[in-house]
Amino acid sequence: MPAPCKPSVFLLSPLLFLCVTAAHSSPPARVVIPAGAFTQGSEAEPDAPVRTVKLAVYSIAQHEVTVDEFTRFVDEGGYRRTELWSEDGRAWLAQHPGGAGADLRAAGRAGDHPVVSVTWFEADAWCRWAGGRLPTEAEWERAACGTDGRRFPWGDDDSVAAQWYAGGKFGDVSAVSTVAASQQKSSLQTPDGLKHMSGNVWEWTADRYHRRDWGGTGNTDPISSANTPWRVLRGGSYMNLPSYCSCRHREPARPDRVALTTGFRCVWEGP
Amino acid sequence: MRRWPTACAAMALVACTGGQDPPEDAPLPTASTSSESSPRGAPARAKAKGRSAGKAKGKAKGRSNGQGKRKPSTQTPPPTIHRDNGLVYVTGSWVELGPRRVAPLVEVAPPPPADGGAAPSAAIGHHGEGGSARGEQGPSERRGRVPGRPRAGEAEKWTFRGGQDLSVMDVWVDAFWIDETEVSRSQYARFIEASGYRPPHVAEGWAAAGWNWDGSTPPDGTQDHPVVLVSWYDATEYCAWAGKRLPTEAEWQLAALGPWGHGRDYPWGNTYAADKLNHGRMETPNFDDSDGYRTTSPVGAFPSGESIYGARDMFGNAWEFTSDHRVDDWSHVSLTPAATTAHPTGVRQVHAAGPGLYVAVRGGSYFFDLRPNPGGERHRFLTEIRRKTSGFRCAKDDERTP
Repeated sequence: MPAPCKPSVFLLSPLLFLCVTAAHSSPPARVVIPAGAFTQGSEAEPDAPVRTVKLAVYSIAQHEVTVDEFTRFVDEGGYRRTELWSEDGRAWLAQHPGGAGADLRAAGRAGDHPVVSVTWFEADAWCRWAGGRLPTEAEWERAACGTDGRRFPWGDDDSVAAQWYAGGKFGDVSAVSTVAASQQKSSLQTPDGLKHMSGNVWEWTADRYHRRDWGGTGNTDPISSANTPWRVLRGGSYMNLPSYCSCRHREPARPDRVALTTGFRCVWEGP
Repeated sequence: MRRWPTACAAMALVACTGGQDPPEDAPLPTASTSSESSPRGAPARAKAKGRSAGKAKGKAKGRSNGQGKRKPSTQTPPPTIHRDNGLVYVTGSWVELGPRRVAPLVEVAPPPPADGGAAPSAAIGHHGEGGSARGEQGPSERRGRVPGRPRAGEAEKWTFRGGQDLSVMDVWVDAFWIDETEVSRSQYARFIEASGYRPPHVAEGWAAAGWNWDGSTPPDGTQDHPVVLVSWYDATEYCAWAGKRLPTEAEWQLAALGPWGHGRDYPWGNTYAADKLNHGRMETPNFDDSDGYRTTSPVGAFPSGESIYGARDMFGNAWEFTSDHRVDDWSHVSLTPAATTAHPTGVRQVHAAGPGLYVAVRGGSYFFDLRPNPGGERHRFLTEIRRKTSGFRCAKDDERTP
């Protein structure tokens, strides 16, 4: 938990932004994304093509689901309430009654850090428990980079992402604590004020992964239900190079993946 | 056989009796039997004792898995290489997993002059092992020495970057099949086309320079090269699509370096040979084309470097993912019952299932040179990262086992 802010510490004013009041007991802060069109995809393979997509209004969590938030779901019997789980999720749950990565969700970090080691099934159930659902790829991408086609939430400068992904040499990074959402610089936020859409932890989306058959049919509120074993991860993680953290990068992953770099956030329909 | 009498005497660990283990085990069903006694039987056991009394003290728990006394007293490699549909057969065997001892330096062939600047006089300690200790060697030991290589009898660092202190563990590996070569780009392209999976592509400048695929099309003229720019997850998906799986680390080592009692330093033997693998250099920029290839080479292009089971490019060309997470302590591995019935009390196989950030990769690549430290063919890669040196091959169970 962040230390309480005290006015007497003005000498440390450069650090004051760290002390923004974080009300961890209240529901996750949400940001409303107005209805409208945006440009999705990349001109370059393998995240091509570019296309215009229309989305209805929705709201999205300002930050990734935290360890504390996920723990409440566990404490309130989330793993026993089968109505919260998808059909595939129930089959998975039968094999893993308490979750697969139960002792790895915090990965040694504080409760206001993003939960990790959660499968797509658990993320999907958590969002239903919170009254929402996992974002579609289109919703995630629109929320991450707005409507002007930029590569990263802050623009096109990937050296900013390079600072962000954890530092260290390519392939020689060490595991570092991720930074709490309340501590992220505003310059790294999205145009809509979302935090950690790029970097920090990968985020599960609702779509199936297929290189070409993505976004499903139609250009309005699209979702892919391609017949593949993979869901889509977005946003990269603290262990990835900048390009993995761009708004366009689509990463396939089995829904039962348990990874120390993978978490999620939810969306809610309507304003 | 090749080095134990020397090393054993030098280390004065135990008396080298040259005896063999009691014939307490039945011959393996898949291994051809022989009356030849195990050339390294007694010393191998002594080796573990010597190690546990030294640096690895207290870490030799891997041996307490109850397998130590169940090793067969005789074991020979298959008399002929068995190839079938791109796979080679690996006989169920015991394998020594862990750091290997350094062979006496006199056995080390000097690097050929064709290797450019990688001459022995270039004292580069690129494994971070420092060069000062080598200065203490006597003149006779200097003869033929290779920079960066530990002194004879020392335990090698069983890792690319050094610093690891694993004990040796003898583990059982059931018979299995492994790809004769690394998975090629044309094979991987069929997977990409058929499945819709993400192709090898990294949106970074270094990858755009001749490594990125255009959709399901690899860079021109490299169809028969090993696929690289794949993550551990990608490799896992390909093998699953192909009806196979990644090899465990123990399987990989068995396929590459042979079974207990016949272990080699290199897939082809115990002496380094620069013309038997696609290697790199010890000095930056670490590329080397004296073997004919600056980066990757067509899979299987070095048939003279194949292992005793016929697997090619086990060393060099591309690093190869294993299904094991990288552990630095054997207490982190899980033991599962083996399928073989050759051992009435049952033996177990090891697997480091994870999850973790790193997985074990083996074999080295066209980048760097393993000559100073053959044990440097073990490294760790992040599971998610696509590198221009990261490739793989697949394995599959032997359905006839036991």
